[in-house]
Amino acid sequence: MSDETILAGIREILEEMDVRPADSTVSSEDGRVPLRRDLHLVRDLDLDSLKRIELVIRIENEFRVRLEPEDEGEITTLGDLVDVIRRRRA
Amino acid sequence: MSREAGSPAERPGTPHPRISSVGRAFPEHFYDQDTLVAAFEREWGEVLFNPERLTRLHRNVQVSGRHLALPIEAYRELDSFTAANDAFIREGTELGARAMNDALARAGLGPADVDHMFFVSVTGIATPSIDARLVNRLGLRPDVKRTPIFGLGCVAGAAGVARAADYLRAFPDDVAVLLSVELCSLTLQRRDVSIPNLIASGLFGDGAAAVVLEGGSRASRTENGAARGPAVVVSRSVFYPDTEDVMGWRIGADGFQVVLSADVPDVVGAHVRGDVEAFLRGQGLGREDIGTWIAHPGGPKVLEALEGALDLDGDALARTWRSLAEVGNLSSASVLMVLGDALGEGRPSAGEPALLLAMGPGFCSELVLLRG
Repeated sequence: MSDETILAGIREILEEMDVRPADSTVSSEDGRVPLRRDLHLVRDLDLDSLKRIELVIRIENEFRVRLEPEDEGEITTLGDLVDVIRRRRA
Repeated sequence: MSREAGSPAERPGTPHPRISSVGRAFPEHFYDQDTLVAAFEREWGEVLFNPERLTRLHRNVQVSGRHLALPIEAYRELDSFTAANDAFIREGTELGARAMNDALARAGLGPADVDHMFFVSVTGIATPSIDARLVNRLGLRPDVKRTPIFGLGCVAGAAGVARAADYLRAFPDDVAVLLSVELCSLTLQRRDVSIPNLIASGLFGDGAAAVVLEGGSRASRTENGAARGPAVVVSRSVFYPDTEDVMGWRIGADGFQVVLSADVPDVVGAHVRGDVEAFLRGQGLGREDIGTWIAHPGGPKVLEALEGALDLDGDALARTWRSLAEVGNLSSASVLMVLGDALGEGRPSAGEPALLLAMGPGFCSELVLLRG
């Protein structure tokens, strides 16, 4: 599975959760969450602690992976999520 | 300048209403948290690729067990809001009767002594309301006044004590009973795997509590004054504008779906200190004068926010933490359970100020100053 496919899958989950970019400077033209690795989960997407757990659970269900507590510590951007998912799927 | 909100100012010669007793009742079906986690894992195992998530969420709430209105296997049969609400009316009436009988017996009173009944709940609805069903069942007088209150959520235990005391200031010869019945387990959404629902499924339990309050004239005439509990000195409601989305229910065809945002501890942390200090200052008191804290056990994060904001030492909320651990969050009934525990331990002691407080959807707080 390519990084782009994983990123697109994450975007779909975020949009199902009704998460939108917190600020117009990070929105893509169509208003969707942009497919950008550097997008920050808290600063750019306004994810609070409950939404963050929900995102992780949905990712586990969707990508059939288990994220360990040590993985979660390193996740701050969409790119970090992509890397963790790729590693756990390996 | 606007008037200071709160109960009427103290009038010389009018003694405060007093809390005479707290009664309680739990459903007979008690399960430890491990048993409940295992049941939820069976229920949600297919939709959660990593069932460890549920275990972790249910451990984090620091609850060791909960009473459930029904035996655990019966919840599968609750396939509609109608079925769940029917169970609420049936079990809630039964549990409410037990809590009320307990409270009245502890106060040395009978059903015919009750002049006004306040009923609070947010976990089921009924018309005639549960209090009306209890008039028939317990034999309350035909002229009993009834005030059923739905929708205040977790704050309703504290707000109920405050409203009953407000009433007794106008009718100081009367007896008022506040009854809270919360059967949170009957609201559980089995198809909702959102985080608020997963947390709620680990945090909330079932129970009922009743408080007997007596008007000041009546309480002052009682010969055996030692048996009387604390006076309700004054109360204050605090509403936080534009926080409607922080907590509540989304109500639909499937019943009550929990709304819970991660902002709750932040809202509590940001407001409670200023609110408590302003409230106490109006009575010539400070936080350090409060000898007994009777707080609603919302959940670990809310309690930590409360302890931090109010600078409370490790033991100040010990009863609240213990109640959370032993039976979970019982919504409006919880703070009344903690009040019952305090009274059972002889607190507040004679002359000692105590603060009863709870928060709930709105978002809002209710602060009630008691004095032993």
